[in-house]
Amino acid sequence: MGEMAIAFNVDNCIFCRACQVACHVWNNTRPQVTEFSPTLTNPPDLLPNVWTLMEAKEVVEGDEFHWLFFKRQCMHCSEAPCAKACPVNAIEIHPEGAVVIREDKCTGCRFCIEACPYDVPRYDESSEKVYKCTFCIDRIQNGLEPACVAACPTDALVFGDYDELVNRYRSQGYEVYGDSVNDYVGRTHYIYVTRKYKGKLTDPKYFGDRLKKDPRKASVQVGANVVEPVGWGLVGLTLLAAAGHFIYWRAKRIEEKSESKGEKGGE
Amino acid sequence: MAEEYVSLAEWRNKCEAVKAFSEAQIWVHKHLIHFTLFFFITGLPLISKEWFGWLAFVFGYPLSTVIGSYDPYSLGIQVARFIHRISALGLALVLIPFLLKTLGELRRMEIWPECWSFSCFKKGFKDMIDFYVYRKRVTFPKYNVGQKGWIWTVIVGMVIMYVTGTVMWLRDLFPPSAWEVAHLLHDIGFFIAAIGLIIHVYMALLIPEHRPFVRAMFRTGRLTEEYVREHHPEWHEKIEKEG
Repeated sequence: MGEMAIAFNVDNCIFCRACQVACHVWNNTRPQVTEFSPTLTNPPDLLPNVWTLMEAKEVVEGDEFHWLFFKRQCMHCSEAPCAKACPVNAIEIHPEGAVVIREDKCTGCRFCIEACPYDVPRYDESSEKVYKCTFCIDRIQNGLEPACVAACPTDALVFGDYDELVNRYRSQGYEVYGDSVNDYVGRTHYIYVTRKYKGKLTDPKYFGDRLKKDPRKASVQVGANVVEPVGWGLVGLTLLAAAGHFIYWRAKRIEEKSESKGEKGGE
Repeated sequence: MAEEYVSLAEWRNKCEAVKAFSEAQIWVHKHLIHFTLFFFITGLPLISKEWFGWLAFVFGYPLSTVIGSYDPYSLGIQVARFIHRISALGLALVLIPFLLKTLGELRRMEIWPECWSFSCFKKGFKDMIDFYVYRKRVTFPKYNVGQKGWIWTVIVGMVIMYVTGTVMWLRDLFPPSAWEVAHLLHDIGFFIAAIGLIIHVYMALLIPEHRPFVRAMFRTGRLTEEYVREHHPEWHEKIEKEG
């Protein structure tokens, strides 16, 4: 199996939340007891046991009000900053595009949370580990669609070959988010497509800051791309300088000693 | 005439008449070495898993034979993080009484610049180049500009490492944006410490002119008056003035 993608078609979603339920069922994650809140989004945010979440947003355009539904989960970035930040290599990037946390390896250091620009991984205090969507890697490696895709009744979620999906939607006039985001995340294996909101996928008025134009964590990037290489370079240079100075100092001392011996001999 | 016998300690005090380091300073420096060693060997696999990941196996493998179901590498990182934090607490236990004791003497310590003008700092750097590059005889105080810079780097660096380390340890008390900044500053602090320590250890162990100071720091805390007059004339003058 090559590189795969799940496309979320914003235009087709009816907010039935079958994907959210299917995710709980397949992954055996106990659902949250729901509470009343001012929005339809429930629970209000991703949790250690809520790996995918349907968000509902009220949008007013002119005099017209309408609901906008958005599916939130791990974006499965090709450059996976979380995997790079993990000090124990607990986050694996599969050839299919899935970015998966190995629960048996995770130490709960939360470096992945620091690195994720989409604010996805969630720390569970009871197990002291971090959890997020697995792209249903266990299903797709066994020839099944991801659970959320299989449960979707309106084809708002479609699973398929990465390039094929992107090309298909583009040729049908859709705006596609994810196939080339930036150098920090690479491309995401969860892609977002729309015709209805064309040109608005990264507009904060519609989707908040969920689909960032330039998602990155500056401090993490500075740490990995500047501080570490420059730091190690300077450590190496300091070692070389110390070795050079030692050789120079020793040669000078020997020279001075032989000079003073010569002077004494001359006397 | 009856011969006069003196104890070894008295004889040493006579020969090594100048007190360079107090017992408390010797004690703190010794423990600083132990804890720094712990900080480095437990922090290295976290800052660079590519080069120092093997240290995590060293920590984790023996324990994983006892705790069967745990990944040895992850276990090693957990052990490293645990020792790192315990070392920080241990060092704090050493530093707090030392700081309380030293606070009153702080103004009299030789760690402040001789004067605060730009020309004064310029002269300090020129003196260092004259001595360490051209091997000229220079009138150093107790510590030269570089040594004072190192002492202040250690003081400020420790404060930064403790603050950022606390944010990362007790991260539930702080927002994620604070974790990110703390992590970055902790990493920068590590590299400054590594570079500074290479210079410090090299200067102490491999420059023979510094050896009496090293011996003083690890043994008696004292220097001979002859050495001080020869290598640190400004300091010698100050001592003589103070009587």
